[in-house]
Amino acid sequence: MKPAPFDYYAPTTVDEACQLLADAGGGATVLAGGQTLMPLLALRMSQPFILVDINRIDALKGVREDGGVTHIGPVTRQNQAIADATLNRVQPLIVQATRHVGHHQTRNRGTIGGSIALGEPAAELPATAVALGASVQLCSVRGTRTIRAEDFYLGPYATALESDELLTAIEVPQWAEGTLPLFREVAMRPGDFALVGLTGALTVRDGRIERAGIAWFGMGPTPIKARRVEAALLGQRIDGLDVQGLAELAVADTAPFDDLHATAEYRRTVGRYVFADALRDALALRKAA
Amino acid sequence: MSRHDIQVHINGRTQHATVEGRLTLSDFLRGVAGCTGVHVGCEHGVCGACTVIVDGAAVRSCLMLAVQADGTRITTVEGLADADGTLHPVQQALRDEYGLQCGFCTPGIVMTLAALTAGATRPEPAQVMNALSGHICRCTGYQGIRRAALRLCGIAPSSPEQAHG
Amino acid sequence: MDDARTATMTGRYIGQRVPRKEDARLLTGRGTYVDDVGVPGMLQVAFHRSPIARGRIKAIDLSAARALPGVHAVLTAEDLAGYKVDMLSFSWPSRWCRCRCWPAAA
Repeated sequence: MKPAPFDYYAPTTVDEACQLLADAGGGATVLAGGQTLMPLLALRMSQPFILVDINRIDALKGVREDGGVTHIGPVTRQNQAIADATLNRVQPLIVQATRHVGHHQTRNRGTIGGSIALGEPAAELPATAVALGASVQLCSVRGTRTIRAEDFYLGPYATALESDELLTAIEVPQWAEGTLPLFREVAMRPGDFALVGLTGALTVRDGRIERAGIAWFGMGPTPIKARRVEAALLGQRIDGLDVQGLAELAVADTAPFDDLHATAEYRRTVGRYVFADALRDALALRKAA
Repeated sequence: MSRHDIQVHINGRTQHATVEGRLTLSDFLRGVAGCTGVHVGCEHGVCGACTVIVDGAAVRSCLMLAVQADGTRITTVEGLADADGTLHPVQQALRDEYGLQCGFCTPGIVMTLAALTAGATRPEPAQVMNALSGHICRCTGYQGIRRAALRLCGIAPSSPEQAHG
Repeated sequence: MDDARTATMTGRYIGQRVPRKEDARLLTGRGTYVDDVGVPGMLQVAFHRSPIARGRIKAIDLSAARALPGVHAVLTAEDLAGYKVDMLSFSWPSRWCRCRCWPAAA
């Protein structure tokens, strides 16, 4: 099938885009990388009257550092993000997570903001944003607001983004140098949706865990912040951690469901291994350093 | 429904057209620009047959709108071989290793491999295999494609590395 | 087969990697697949299938479809009645197994 007819606009400024969204009264959809929206349009699962293409808004592109916070423009291509020198230096977990998003070809068009704004429960970037304590900036003709990633995701593909709002920045706090990344994803093949995924960061000082941010993807209707295990890890010495016990605690926060690809039971079982392996790998990195 | 004037540089020549906003790049390339070498398999971004190179990057043309390609330089499978018919190294490698049967998925695979091998340095096998995971082939069982890809990474067909990869 | 011919064939084909004749054309995008065929006055056809299995068609309203710009014709089984198009049944054994002209898969 082909997309249903729509009016196409390609604004060059954020203000223009917000005005178009406001004027459309809910009948407009934003087009960023298009790697998710185009199939929806082709299958006519989405039939907006107006398509607002934000790819020509230069202000929404690029990565910059500012006082301990990394600002990522939403129209930064996923492959650009992977190659970005700043991100590799200050946000290695985001780079690692992005490598797992879709396929090489979709990453040439797909954007960081597109994945963040979609809220796919099995997606890597929303969970990584939650784990790192990131926030998103949303703009409309009514003004600008910032909302924490952990409050942004409300349900599968449901976020706090209003129909007249544009996601204009992803703000990620920079964790201390030497922070250990945790990342593990189980999928049928590279590029498939994650069945179980874990993403996170651990800061260790003087042999103790000073800061922990951990989130699951594919384990519930939204990214799930593993609060109990984060709290349990704080202050603990990294040698002599009860990895199995922590894995149980990590899975306890999840709310997986049965679907075509895996049962909830499978996800919980695999989740324990995923957590244990990710934690051991991260600690091994530290010993190697 | 909006219509737009666009100018796209395809395989070295400039194509002017007025297109509907909703026309996909794949339909534009096939129907307006005459590049029927661009194949549409699934039309929702999973099979990879429609892959072309836009401003140096391999992209799925079924997941772009023609209007988004205004001002870009596009290479399709028709634009790789020399004017005298000499095959591009990617095309030659696939031929030498029998990496095609019906040929429907082939243009997409050719473009991904061409984009990866366009730089000055040879790509790493892991990177190429990862990129090939974005393509589906129903005929070959992938081994000929894999051998061709490894050749392009500088690994000879009979070498030990060929057995794994 | 005489020895000379056998020897030639063994040398040229058997045991050799024989290049395919169609590869150069297919690798350069010069294959002709069904959707590549274009003739003057050609129309495109789209099939609309029942969303319900084993339903009973009570009525078909084609007025909206026929009114769409660019639609040349909308055809149903009734329109094909005069064309000896047989329905090919896929359940065996069946009296329709031996199909006549222009069998159409139902």
